[in-house]
Amino acid sequence: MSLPPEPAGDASPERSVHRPEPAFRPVAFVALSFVLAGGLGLMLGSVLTLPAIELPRFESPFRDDPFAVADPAGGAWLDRSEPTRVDIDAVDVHAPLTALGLDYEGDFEVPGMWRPHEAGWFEAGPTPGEFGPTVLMGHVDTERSGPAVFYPLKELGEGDRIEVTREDGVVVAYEVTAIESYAKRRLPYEDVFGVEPEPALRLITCGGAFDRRAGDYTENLVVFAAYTGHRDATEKDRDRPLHGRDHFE
Amino acid sequence: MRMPQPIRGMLLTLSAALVLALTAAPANAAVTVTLSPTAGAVGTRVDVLASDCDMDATGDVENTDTSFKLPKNNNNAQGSFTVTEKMKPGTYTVTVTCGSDTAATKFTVTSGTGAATGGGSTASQATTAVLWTGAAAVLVAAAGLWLLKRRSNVTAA
Repeated sequence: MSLPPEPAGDASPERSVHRPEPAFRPVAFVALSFVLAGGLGLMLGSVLTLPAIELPRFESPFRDDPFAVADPAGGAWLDRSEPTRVDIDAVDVHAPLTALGLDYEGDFEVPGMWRPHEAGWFEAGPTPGEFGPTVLMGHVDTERSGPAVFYPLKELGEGDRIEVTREDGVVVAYEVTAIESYAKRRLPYEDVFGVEPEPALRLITCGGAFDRRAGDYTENLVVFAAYTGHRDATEKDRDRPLHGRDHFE
Repeated sequence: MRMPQPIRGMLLTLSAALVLALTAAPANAAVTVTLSPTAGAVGTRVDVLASDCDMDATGDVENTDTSFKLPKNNNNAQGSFTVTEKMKPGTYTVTVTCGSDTAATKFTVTSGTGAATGGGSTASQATTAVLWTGAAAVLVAAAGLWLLKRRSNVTAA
């Protein structure tokens, strides 16, 4: 706060020190009111869970025929071989993969909460390098101990490299093309589980707000990645360490 | 959306070249079946492509009464089916019969929601941080307003 200039030969200095500039008070009053309102808003917003706003989705012209530009037999794609690990050097993810299906309610199965270092792959879909979308899922955090295997996915950027190693020793490389967040009730299966002109990879984890009553996050974060090539695993690939459970404690 | 724009002319020449190549060579490549999407809930339309199937084909979803036709389309056969209410969540084998050949792949019917990939231990920290930031802002603003009022009283005296 700046002090007003001392009027020469006025009253006692103690009183003039305490007198604010005439224009200062209303401005400060308005500014502080805004801060007060903002603070109250933050407090309210952190307590209440607001429903996510859904914008109408415009259908892609390819929806009519997803195979218009995709030719499953037209490339030298790989045969089926199960993935064993995923490596994303950009965000220090080195995780083993387990096979996932559906739970008894028809929801996606996810790795156990007690295995925060583990990610999974959707076994009923294509394997890496096969034509079609390979889908990996992993926890963003656990119930108690903090971040889990796919916590750093939100830091990924377009062009970051993802490598998935298969049981047959082939390393399939992908490049991140998009990162999207969707309300769980409106996960766009056509995009996540649909074909692209080349083999594709999707990484799924949680995002959005945590709904304490449901015990679940409201959104899914989906990383879309496109195939860039594959190679046989080298000695260096095989020596890469995997993050164990103690990495997440 | 995430697919690059097709270059129509190039595609046409490409498919023409493929047709030519196939008519020239004996069509003995194995039939493969591809679905899009590979998973979905009730009401999802699933497109089915039988590659290297040079005739009209038929498709069946195992353990359901869903069957569909795949008319010939260039050197492939292509059709679609819709997931019905009768199909409970689970994995189904989709089989396509193309002449004397058959080929199969899997489709998964889900409840239609996303994946429960979090326990919430990092979320709580974020909300409490916001809560405390808000509380701090409110405190600072209230203190400032009180000071302003107090000082205005002093000058008024």
